[in-house]
Amino acid sequence: MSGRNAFLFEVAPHHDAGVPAVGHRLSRRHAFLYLLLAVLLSAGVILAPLLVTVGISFSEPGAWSGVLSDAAAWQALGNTLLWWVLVLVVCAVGLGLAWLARNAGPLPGRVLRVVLVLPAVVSPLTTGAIFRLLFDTSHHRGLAAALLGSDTPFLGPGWIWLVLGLAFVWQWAGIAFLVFHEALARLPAGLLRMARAFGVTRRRRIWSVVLPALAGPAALAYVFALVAAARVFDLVLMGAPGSMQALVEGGGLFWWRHNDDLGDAGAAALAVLMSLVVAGAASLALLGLRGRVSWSEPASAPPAARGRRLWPLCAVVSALWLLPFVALLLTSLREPAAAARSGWWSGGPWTLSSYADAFADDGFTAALGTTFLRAFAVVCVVLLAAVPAAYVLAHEHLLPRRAWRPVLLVSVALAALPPQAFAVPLQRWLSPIGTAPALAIVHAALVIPLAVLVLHNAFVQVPAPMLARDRWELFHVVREARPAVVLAGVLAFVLVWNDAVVGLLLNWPSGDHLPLILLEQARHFMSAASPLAAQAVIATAVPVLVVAVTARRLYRGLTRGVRR
Amino acid sequence: MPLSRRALLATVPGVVSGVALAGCAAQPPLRVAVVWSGAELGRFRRVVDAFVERFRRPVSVYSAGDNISALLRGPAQDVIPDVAVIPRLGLLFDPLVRPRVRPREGGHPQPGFWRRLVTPYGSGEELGTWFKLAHKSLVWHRAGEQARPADLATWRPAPGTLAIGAADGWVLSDWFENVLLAYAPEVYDGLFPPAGRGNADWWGVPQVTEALTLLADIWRAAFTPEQGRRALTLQFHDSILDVFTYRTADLVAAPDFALPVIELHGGVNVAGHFRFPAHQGKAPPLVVGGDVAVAMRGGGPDAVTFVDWLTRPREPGERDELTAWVDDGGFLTPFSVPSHPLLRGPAEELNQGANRHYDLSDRLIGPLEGGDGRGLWRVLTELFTEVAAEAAAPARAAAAARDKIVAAAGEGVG
Repeated sequence: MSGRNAFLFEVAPHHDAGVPAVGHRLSRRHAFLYLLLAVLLSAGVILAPLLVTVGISFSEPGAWSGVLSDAAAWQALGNTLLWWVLVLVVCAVGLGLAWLARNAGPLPGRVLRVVLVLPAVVSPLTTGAIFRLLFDTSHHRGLAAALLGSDTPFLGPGWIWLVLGLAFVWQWAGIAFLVFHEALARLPAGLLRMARAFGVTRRRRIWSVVLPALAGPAALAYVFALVAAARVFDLVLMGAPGSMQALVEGGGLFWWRHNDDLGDAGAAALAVLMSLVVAGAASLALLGLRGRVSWSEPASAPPAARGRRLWPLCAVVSALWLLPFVALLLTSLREPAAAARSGWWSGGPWTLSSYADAFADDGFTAALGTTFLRAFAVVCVVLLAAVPAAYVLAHEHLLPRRAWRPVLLVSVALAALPPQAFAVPLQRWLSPIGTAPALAIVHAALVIPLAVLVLHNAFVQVPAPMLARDRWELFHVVREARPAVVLAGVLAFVLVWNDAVVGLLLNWPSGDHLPLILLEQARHFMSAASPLAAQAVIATAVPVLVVAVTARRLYRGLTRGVRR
Repeated sequence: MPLSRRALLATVPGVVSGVALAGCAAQPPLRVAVVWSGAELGRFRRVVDAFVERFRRPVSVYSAGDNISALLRGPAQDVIPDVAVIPRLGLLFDPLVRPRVRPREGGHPQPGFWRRLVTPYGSGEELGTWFKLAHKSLVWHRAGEQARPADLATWRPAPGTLAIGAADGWVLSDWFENVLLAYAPEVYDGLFPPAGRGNADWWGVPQVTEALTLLADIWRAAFTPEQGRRALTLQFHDSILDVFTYRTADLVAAPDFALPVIELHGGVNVAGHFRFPAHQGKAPPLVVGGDVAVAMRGGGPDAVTFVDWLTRPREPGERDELTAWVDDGGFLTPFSVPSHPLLRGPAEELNQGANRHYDLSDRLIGPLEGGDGRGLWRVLTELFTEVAAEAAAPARAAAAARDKIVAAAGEGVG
C-alpha cells in the first residue's frame, strides 16, 4: 500500500519505511510522559466515571430488573433501534450519491462535495429547527403542506419519523458520501478491467471486487453515522413538538428526562444498557474494518458522455440539499410577526430586525463570545494532548502491530459512547472546580480519542529524517502533517461549537453556551420563527466560515493527512 | 504536561470572566434566572434596567427555560443564580431546592391566599414573593361570536370549533385542572389543601376517573381523528392563530397572557372571552398560576433588595416598565389593575374569586412533575392522542390515564 493514498482510520498500521533510526530514542518513561495528558483526560473523564456508573447500577438490587421491566424505557430503547435503521439509510444514500458524483464527472462531483458536506457542520439543533419550519402543519407556514395545498400534520404521529429521518439524512449523508466518494475513486480499476476481459459476470465482479473494496469505507461511514445517531438528542429536542417527544426520543433523551425518577441505580443501569446497545451496533463495523483495505491510484475520469446525462440529477440533489439553508435564511430576513403567520415564499416585508434584535440581546452576544472562547480553549487542550500522544504512538513503536486494532476499537467505542454513561459521577467530581473549566475539560476529553486517531494516521506517513532524530522532530512531524492537525482542530471546534448535549446532560444549563440559547428561543416555536432563524444563521455562519477557510487542508487532511 | 496545564488555566478563566464581566462594573452582576424567552424576556430586561439605574448594581438576566429545575437542584454551586423567578410552585418545596432558598424577611405584605401558597405547612416563613399571576380559566373567541356554554356536563363543542395547542403539555394540564376543579373541587382540596399536608391517595378516588372521562368526552367530541393529529402538532400560540388569524376554529381555552398574542396577530378589539364553564350548579373553576421571585441563600443582601424592589406594589399613579407591561396585557400582579377592559375582570377574580385554586401540575414534584414527554403532561398527551387522534372510547382511555397517574403517584410516595 502506498502511504500517499492512505485513508483516514485505515486499519492496517503504517510503519516508518525509512532506514531504522540510529539516533537516540525516547526512553520509555519519556514516551509515556508524551501520552500522559491524553490518557489522563480520557481515563479520568470517560473511563473512570463509566466504571463508577457500572458500579452504581449494581449498588441496588432491584435497579436492573426495574429498568428492564419499564415499558417506557423499552419504548425509548426501541426508538434507538429505529435511529439505527436511519444510520443504514444514511450510508445507503451516501453510497448512492457517491456513485452519482463519480459517474457525473469532476465538475458536479466538486459541487456535490461542497453542498453535501455543508450540513454536517450545522448544529443538530439548527437542523431540527429548519425541518420543523419546512414541515409545519399549517399550509400557510410549512413548505411541504403548502405544496400539498392543505394542512398536513407532518409533525404528528407517524409522519414525524419521516421528518426526523429526512433531517438526519440531510445532515449526515454528506459524510458518508465523502467516504464513499473517495473509495469509489480508488476502486481497483485494473482488477475490474481484467475481470471484465476474462468475461466475469457483472454480479460476480461486484461481489468479488467492488464489495471487498467498499467494506472498509462502508464501516467507516457506518461508524460516523452511528456516533451521530447514538447522540441524537438536540435534533429531537428541537425538531419534534412536545407531544411527540416521548414517541420518538431515543434512550439518551429518555434518560435525561427520567433519571430523577429512575433513581441513581436505575439511571445508571439504563445508561449501561444504552452503552451496550451502542457497542453492539458499533461492533458491526468490525466486519468491514477487518478486511485490509487497499487503495490504488484514483482511476481516470469515467466517460463524459454518460456524465452529462446525470447532470440534471446532480442539480436536483444540490437544490434539495441547499433548500433548507435557503428556507432558514429567508425566514430570518422576514418581519417576525409575518414569519409567524406565513411561510417565506409569501414574500415580504423583508427586514434585518431579527438580526438587530439578536445582536442587541446581551445573553446572545455573551454566549457567542463564551462559546467561541470555549471552543478555542478546547481546540488548544485537544491539540496539546493529542499531538504528543499521536506522535509517540506513531514514531516510537510503543504499540506492537497487534495492539493497533484494540486501540482503534477503544477509540471508536469511546467516541460512540453515550455521554449519559459517565455524566452522573463526572458531574459530582467536577462541580467543585466550576462550570466553565469543567465543561471545557469534558469536551476536550470527548474529542481526544478521535483527534489521536486522525493525527496518528497522518504522523506515520511523515518519514523520519535518517540521521537527525533530535528533540525537534516532533515539530518537524507536525509541520509536515499540518493538514491533519488542522482537521483535528476543526473537528474539535465544530463539535464543541454545536454541542447541546454535554451542557444539558451535565446539568449545567447556565445558558452561556450558544445552542442552549437557541433552544430557549424555541419554546414558542412558530411565533419565534424569525428571531430563532436569525440566531441559527449567526450560529451556523461561524463553523461554516471556519470550514470554508480551511477547506483545502481539511480535504487533504481527510484523504492524505500530510502536506503533499 | 506542565505546559498544557498552564495553557488550560490561562485560557479557561477567560471564558469565565468573559461572561462574568459582561456587565459594566467591577462588582459581579446579580444573576437572575427566569423562564421567559423572546418578547417576554425582553420586557423583563427593560423592567430590570430601572433597578440597575437606581441601585448601580449590574444585573445579568438569563433564561433557563424549563431547565430551571435542573439549575436549582443541580450540584454545581456556581451556576445557582442569586435570584430565580420560579414558574412552578412545587419547585419551591422540593427537598433539594428549599434549603437553598432564603425565606422572606420584611418586604410588603402579600394577600392571604397567595401568602399561604408560598408558606410551607407548619412553618411561618414565606419562601418567595409573587411577581406575576395568571388566570387560567378563560375561553377566548372572536368578539361577539360565541356565548358561554350553559353547563360543562353537556358541553360538547362541534368538531372543528375548538383549538387546542396539544403540543404543549401545560395546555392539556390546564384543561384537566379546569375540568377537575369544576367537577370535583374536593379532590383538588384533598391533594393540596389550603392548610395542612396533601395526600396523594386522592388520585385513586373515582371522581378523578370521572373527571378524566368528562375531559375525554369533550376532546373526543371536538376533534375528528384528522383534526386531533393536527392539534397534536400545534403549540399554544398556533392555537391562538387558528382562531384569530386563520379562523379555522372558534374557541380556544387560554390564560390571560394570550391577549398580547391575539392583538399582535389578530388585531385589537377582536377578542372576547368567557369563564370556563361550571359543572351542574357548582362554582365555576378558577385555576390560577404564577411566578414566584425568590432570593437564593448564596445571593447576599442585594438579592433580597432586588426581589423586594421587583415585586413591590406600585403607588397609584406610578408609571414604570412594569405597569406598562400590565397595561399592554400578558402580565397580572397581585397589586395592579390593568387598564385593558378584557383583563380587569380576570385581575379582580385573581384576588377575590371563589373556588380559586393554584395550578395543580405546577405543584407536583417527582414522577408526576410535568415536562415534555414526562409526568402528568405525558399521561394527558397520551389521553388526548387516544381519544382525539385515534378515536378510542373515552371511558376506557380515561381509566388507563388514571391508572398511569396512580402508579406514578404511588412511586413518588414510595
